[in-house]
Amino acid sequence: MELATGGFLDGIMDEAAIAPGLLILVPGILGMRGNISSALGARLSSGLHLGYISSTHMTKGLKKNIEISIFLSVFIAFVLSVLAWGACIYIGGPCISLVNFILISITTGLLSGVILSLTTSGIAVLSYRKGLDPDNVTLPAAASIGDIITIICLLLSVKFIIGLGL
Amino acid sequence: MINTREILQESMPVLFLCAGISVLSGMFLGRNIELLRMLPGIVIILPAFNAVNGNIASVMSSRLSSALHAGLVKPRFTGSRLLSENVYSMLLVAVASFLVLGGAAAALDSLMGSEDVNLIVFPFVTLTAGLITALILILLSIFSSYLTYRHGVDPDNVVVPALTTIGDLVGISSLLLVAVAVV
Repeated sequence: MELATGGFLDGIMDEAAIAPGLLILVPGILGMRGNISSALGARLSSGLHLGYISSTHMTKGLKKNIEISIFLSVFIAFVLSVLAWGACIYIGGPCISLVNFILISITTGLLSGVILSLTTSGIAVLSYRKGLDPDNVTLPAAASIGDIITIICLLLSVKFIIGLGL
Repeated sequence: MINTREILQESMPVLFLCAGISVLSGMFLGRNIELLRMLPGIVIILPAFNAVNGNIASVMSSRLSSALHAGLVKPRFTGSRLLSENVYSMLLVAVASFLVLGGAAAALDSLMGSEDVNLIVFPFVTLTAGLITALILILLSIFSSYLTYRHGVDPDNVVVPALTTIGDLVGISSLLLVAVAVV
């Protein structure tokens, strides 16, 4: 799984030719996704064990948790893009504009946030239904699926935003 | 129960800190883009390399914090058999994983069309850089678990997220440094 992520990272290297400075964003945006979806997975596992999240129907608790996770992804993606743009200016060399940095990062954050929050909650709920402890299944699954989904989302957002030609 | 404000308040500081550190890792990558272009195999194994280091740091830290909570290890900087056994087993896992990764990097590099792939260089680079990173992370894990535990903070909440992020930074920089030194 991680090696497949590396293959896509190699694709980012080619993309970096049209969007210079982009590589600075990669460790941050991958790390954030991992942190946010593992926190979601851990909260859902505790919720399922304690019984305030149901494994058979949509509860308010589950919905709220997914919303928080998506909000955090978009917000942190924004913070990261500004930091990464600053870092790019600081080390000098070619950089895409701040607006492009922000748009690419937020699109990636939103896209991967929605996909991964839903996947993480799906894995947590299904594993609980099958009688597995979601703590043991959700976190490793979320972390490695997270990396590969996020880097695919990043590639797509770069193509889309640079294609807009702002 | 679910308290939106509480979750946000507790998540934000850690996430902000991690965002700052990971942008530093990104700066190392961005600065060395030309070097990375010459070694496509290294780029492909980079996420796996970071994941192995992250796993070593988090397994070590969570074992250590369980041992501290259970009273099996005292938070003092003196030799302890349980501690040294843990360190040795982690280093053994590290050597095995990094050798495999080095082999994978060499194989992928030749698949990507490099002609002069050296079967010795890649495992040497991943093993050296990996062991440097693993040693730094293990030491940091012991220090930070002891310090947080002594101050009454649960190491489980702080040490694992902090070390996986620091691990990315240390891992990327040592991988690049060793690659520069060798190539």
